[in-house]
Amino acid sequence: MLSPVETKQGKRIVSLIRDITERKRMESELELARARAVASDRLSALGLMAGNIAHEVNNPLAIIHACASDLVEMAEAGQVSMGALEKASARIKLTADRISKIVKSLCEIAREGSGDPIQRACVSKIVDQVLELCKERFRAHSVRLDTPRVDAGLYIICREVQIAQVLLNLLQNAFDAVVEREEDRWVRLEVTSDERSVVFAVMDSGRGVPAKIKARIMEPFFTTKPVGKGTGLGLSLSKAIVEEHGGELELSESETHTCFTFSLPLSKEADNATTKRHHTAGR
Amino acid sequence: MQLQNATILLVDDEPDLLFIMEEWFRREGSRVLTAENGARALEAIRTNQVDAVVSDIRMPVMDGGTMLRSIKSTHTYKPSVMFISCFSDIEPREAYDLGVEATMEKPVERKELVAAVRRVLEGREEQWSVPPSQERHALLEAAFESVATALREGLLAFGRGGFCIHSNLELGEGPVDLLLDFRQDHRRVRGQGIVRWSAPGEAQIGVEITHIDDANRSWVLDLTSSNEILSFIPRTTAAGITATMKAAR
Repeated sequence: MLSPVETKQGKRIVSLIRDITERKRMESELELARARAVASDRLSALGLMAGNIAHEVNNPLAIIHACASDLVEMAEAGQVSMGALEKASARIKLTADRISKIVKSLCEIAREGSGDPIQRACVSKIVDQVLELCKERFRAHSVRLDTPRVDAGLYIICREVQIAQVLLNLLQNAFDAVVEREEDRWVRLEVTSDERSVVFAVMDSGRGVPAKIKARIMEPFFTTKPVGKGTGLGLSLSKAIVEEHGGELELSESETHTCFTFSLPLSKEADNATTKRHHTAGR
Repeated sequence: MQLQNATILLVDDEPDLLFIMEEWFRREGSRVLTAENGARALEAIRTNQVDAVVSDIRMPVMDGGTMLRSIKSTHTYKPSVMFISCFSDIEPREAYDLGVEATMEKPVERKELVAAVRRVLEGREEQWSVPPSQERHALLEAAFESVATALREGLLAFGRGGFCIHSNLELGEGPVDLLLDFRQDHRRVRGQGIVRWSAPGEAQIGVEITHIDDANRSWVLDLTSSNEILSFIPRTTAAGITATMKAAR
């Protein structure tokens, strides 16, 4: 720090030098710890998702395996009928398509995504991708998942991967909140829009967020989940992502139901060609 | 029981897989019933005499584990049940304790599945009479004062198809030769089995019996069928815990 000082001997410069090496070191360590925690949370979320996907993929694999084995046995016995061949091949093809759809969604959503450009993205494509990755978990545990019919022409301005990650995180939290309930287990995703924005809402039939922790649930590392189940970063990261997009992640509760909502700016670009291209790519 | 005289109930929420497996067992001459979840399977068991159930675990409405608990607790007859699982759907220790007689992972081979069902349909005596393999395996050797003390002191617990033993032996999953000495009973049981799970931290090993020598076969059969525990292999030898689990069912 330099500052001129008037003295009897004239103007003098007082120089004060403070060694901030330690502070810088601590700041960098903190940043490193935060980055590690974020990475660990991503890994934990990916691990959870991988488990579901393993399941989702294994059933169609079992079908393909069974059909192919049947064909091999028929060939070995010299008894391949055209009818049986056609039927088994069609079933293999259809089932392989099912796996390919899941893998495609996984590849798109599992990317880091924070360096992606912010651009127009088709809402129905994002929603479809997210549902593809979590619907099996809901179905297998008999949790009803109500999903919206999203207008295929609805576009938002965002980093597509990040918004998909936020939606997946909210749906997984909602699933965790209701899965242990004896009955009335449901999660609802709603997508509404007005002239300026698109609002995403994730509701569940759980007991709601207790009043005493409401203020803390979006804090980093705050979690009510058992050890090993959550790092407490999912909601805080989701909140940060939504805020980076100029929106706000909010918790609202109507009577007993928990509802997380966030809105993002609507894209009104009337570029039909782009719209069409984006839409087709998502199907 | 022969496969061609048996009624097989297939339970899976994947219609294509159900259809394919149905064909497999029809070809063997079995009467085949299908159900898309555990609840439907229970209905089928109530209204039919089912000999073996081949079930998926993760299913909507009612999963395989809940279905199995219900079969074991509420029905007058108990069909053999085998699970076709996916990765970590259920721990083998848990499955065998629930009463499952065999587990397989998807994708399954037709021949292996049919062979496994054929095997669970066989009587225990028939299974254990098959001459033992001549191959040498790891040896599970243990000596007890008597079977009564072993059971009372929580060193051994029998299920319908095997036993859980308190042991510090390091045995991996797989075939094992058995030599169990019960001194006061004057029984030196020789046989073969398969280590289905081991929990070294708790010094517990779960073994399915595959062969028992001629002299002791009926004696061991009595031990495995006289107990009230429905487990195929009990999850623990601890008498207290087993009793609690029994009460919880």
